[in-house]
Amino acid sequence: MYYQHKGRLHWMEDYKYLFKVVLVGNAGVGKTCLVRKFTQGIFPPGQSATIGVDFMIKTVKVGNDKIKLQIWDTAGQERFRSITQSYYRSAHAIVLVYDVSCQPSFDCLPEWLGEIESYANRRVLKILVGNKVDKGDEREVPERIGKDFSDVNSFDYFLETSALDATNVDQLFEQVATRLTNDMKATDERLHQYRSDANTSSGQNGQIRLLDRAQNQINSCCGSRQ
Amino acid sequence: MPDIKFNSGVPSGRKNKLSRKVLAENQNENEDQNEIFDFSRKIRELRLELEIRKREEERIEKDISIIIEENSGDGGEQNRTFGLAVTRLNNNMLVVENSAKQLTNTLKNISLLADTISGRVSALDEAKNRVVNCLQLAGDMRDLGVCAEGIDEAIRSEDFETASEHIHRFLTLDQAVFQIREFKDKDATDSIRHSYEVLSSAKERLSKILKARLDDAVIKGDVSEMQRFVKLFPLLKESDEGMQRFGKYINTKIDKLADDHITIMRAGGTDDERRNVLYADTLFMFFEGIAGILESNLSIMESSYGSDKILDFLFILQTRIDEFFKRLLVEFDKNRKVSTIIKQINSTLFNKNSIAQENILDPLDIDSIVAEICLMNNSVEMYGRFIGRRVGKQADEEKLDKLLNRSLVGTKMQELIGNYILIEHYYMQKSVEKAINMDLRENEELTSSIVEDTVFIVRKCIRRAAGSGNVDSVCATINNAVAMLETTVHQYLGGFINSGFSTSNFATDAIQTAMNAAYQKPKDSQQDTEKDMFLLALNNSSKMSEMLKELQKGLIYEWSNVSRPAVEKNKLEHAATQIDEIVRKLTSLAKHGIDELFKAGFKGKIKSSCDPYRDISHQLTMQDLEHFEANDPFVEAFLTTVDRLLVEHESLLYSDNYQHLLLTVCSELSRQFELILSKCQFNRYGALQLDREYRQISAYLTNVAGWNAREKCARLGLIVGLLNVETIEEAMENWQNSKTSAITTTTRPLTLGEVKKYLALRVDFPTLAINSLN
Repeated sequence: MYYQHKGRLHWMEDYKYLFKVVLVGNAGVGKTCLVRKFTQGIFPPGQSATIGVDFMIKTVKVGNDKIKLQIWDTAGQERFRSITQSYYRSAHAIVLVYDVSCQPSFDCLPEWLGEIESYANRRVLKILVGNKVDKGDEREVPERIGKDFSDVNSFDYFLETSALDATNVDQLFEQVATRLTNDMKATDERLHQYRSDANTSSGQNGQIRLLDRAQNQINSCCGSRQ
Repeated sequence: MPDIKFNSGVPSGRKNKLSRKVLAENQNENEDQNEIFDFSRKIRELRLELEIRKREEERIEKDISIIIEENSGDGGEQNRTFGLAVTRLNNNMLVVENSAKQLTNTLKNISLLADTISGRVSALDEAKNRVVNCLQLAGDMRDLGVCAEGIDEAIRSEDFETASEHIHRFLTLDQAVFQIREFKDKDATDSIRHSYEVLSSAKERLSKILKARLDDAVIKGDVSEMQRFVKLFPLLKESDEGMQRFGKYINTKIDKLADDHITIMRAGGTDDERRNVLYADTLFMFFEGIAGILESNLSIMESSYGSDKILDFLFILQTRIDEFFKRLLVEFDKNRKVSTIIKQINSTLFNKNSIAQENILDPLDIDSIVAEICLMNNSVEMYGRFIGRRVGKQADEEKLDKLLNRSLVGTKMQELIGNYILIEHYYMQKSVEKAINMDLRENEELTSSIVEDTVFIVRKCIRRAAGSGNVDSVCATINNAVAMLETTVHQYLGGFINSGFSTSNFATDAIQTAMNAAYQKPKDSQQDTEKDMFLLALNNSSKMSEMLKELQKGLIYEWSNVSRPAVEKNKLEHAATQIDEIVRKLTSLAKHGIDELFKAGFKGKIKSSCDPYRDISHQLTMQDLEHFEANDPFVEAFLTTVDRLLVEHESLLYSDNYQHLLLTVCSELSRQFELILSKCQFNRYGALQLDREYRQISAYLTNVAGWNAREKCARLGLIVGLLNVETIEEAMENWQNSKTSAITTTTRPLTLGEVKKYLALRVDFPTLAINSLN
């Protein structure tokens, strides 16, 4: 229910769901370039390090539904960590990015994963992205290693991308939108089922029990921080 | 003129026949001539013929003149005028034709002339350009000569302005001048080569002299000398050299300023009352000083070096500003113990392990530090805005961003703001935890201190973050505030609401006594306290959601007056919408509690108060109806019971909660009454009595709960209306009308089955007729 409310924040407008996607990862792995490539179709050369967070919106289609993605592009540098951390909690999806041509950015992944675990919603969609596959010979992290890390740490999806030549950029965000939409639809259906069950069995009492259930959910999924 | 031909009276055909006849006769005569030459008879005949013809002609002419006269009264005059006009026109046309021919000839001449002229003009133009070029070249050569002649003298007499002007002239000369060196004329080339060499060496010398003199002036601190020499460097195309040297001078000023402020700071500042913001004040004063220095010195850079060099110059100064900031931060960290605080906060806030009580920071102790960091950031942002204005809009944005955001001041401040967010988060979290521990209810108040304390703390933190001028810190603080409200506060309030109903012996009477006890005597049982806390939490949730909504409105209003880049506006807007979610959660928490309260305290009572209605007969006579008008059998007692229940709660519940309770009661009452009346049997008078009762109930509910209540019992109204009819046909008509003019969209219309069911309650209607309705 908690999850659901967030997604339905602006249901009156012309889209079906709104999702918050937060990009994290070391400085310089190409988070901003990925977002720019996806939202504006450009690869900004000589992009300077992001300050704080950047914020962009793009509407995509999943089936016949219009889905609005609110993309939070965070700064990778340590000094912005406390700003970044405050965004984890309301995220529907977290995209953790590393640079395939930079081993240290891969070595930092466990640290990032720790952050995600301590601040994000437990049911958040976790996606691992190895960026800059266009670098060819300079690659330091083989795809297999990335995939293994993603499997071991139960990421929902793993993908290698290049913001420079647009490899898998659209696919990455489409996957995010599709997976979140499907999750949300499943939740909607379950809720609908639950509601009609409750209504047929005990009339008005069902509604109150439903609220109880929602309450428990709120408490259980928000309690991770305390 | 075909008309005349036909009107002449002599058809042409006959005339032709006649002439042919004559021809034929003439031929015959010719044949005769060959033989007999006697013409006398012939002549006579011909004369006769001629006479006839003449007469005929006269007649025809007469005819014609008659016809003409008939056709036009004064035709003759007109014809003449027309004829004259045509002649004139003809003459004129001839003149025009001649003129046109002349014109053509003239134009041909002109075009020929023009061609010649344009050829000459272009030739002239080319010649003029050559002359101008020659003149310029000559001028340049002369200038070169003059410069070469004057330069040594100027340098010797220390007239560096003139010397620099000469060099500037030399450096900006058209390169064409120097190509003349390869020219044929030996004298000229020699002279030019000579000047060139003189000037080149003079430039080197002058540059050396200027550098030395400027260095001297910088060391001596001679401002007027400095300004004199600094201006000359761009003339020598050595702006960077001048900038470096002048920058060195400004940097010594900055260092002096820095030393002064650090000294004052170490001594504890000038104002004891501002000791807790000592470092922020020092930073502020320092930036004020820098702004002063820049104001008085940048104009010379701007006028001699151009405004695009300003940023480069500022980069030279930034090193010293960075140095000062570094020194300030060392002191700040040492005395305010920021690193230690951060370490402690990280361990308390995010470590699940228990921490010794004495290691936990009191939020009050860090209150002034967070305020100070905000002030510091504000000074940095102010300085940034000052620089932004100074370099103007046309400045290279990337460079400006590098200067402000990537310099040591920029990055260190970002780091400090990061720390600030963390400390502010801790402050908020711990303050609210403290407020929860000290949660206190003043006598007779519906809500306790937690509501206002929490909202106060949240507002204070968000406002403070806003005061730093850093949008990201505002957003992060709101994010953290929402997280805190959704967890700590929500759990606290939700705990009471849930536990209030988790106890097994929670029953209607129990809550009743608890509520009475709350006012009449000190609480003595654990259970009473629980119920009391339940109601309190209910009201607290409701009031807090209301206050948070107001806070959100206030913030949005405050922000709407500040102009910001679109991205920052979006970020703030999004952060503010997050508050909606916690508002909604608290509201639904309160509603959930009210629903529980209703289930326990109202539902059963309403049902049991309805029950007596079944025992009353609803098949009345006229006399019964009149009797009931004075002696109400049911509804007054029923409403009194409900009213007593409501009144008891009105004083216990926050207005929103009471309103929600009222509406819940309204729908339940309407539902229960509907259920009970379907178990009764009515005749016409019984239905009239029912109508009377319904009106009383509806009036009462509207009175206590407003128009929304009427909506809730609209369905009951439909049923009562259906029963109050003379015939089944009238009932059906009523039903059809109610379907088309649905009172409200929320009221569910009656189905045919329901109509049949309710009509069957009328004992005087035949069952068969009701069943056959469709």
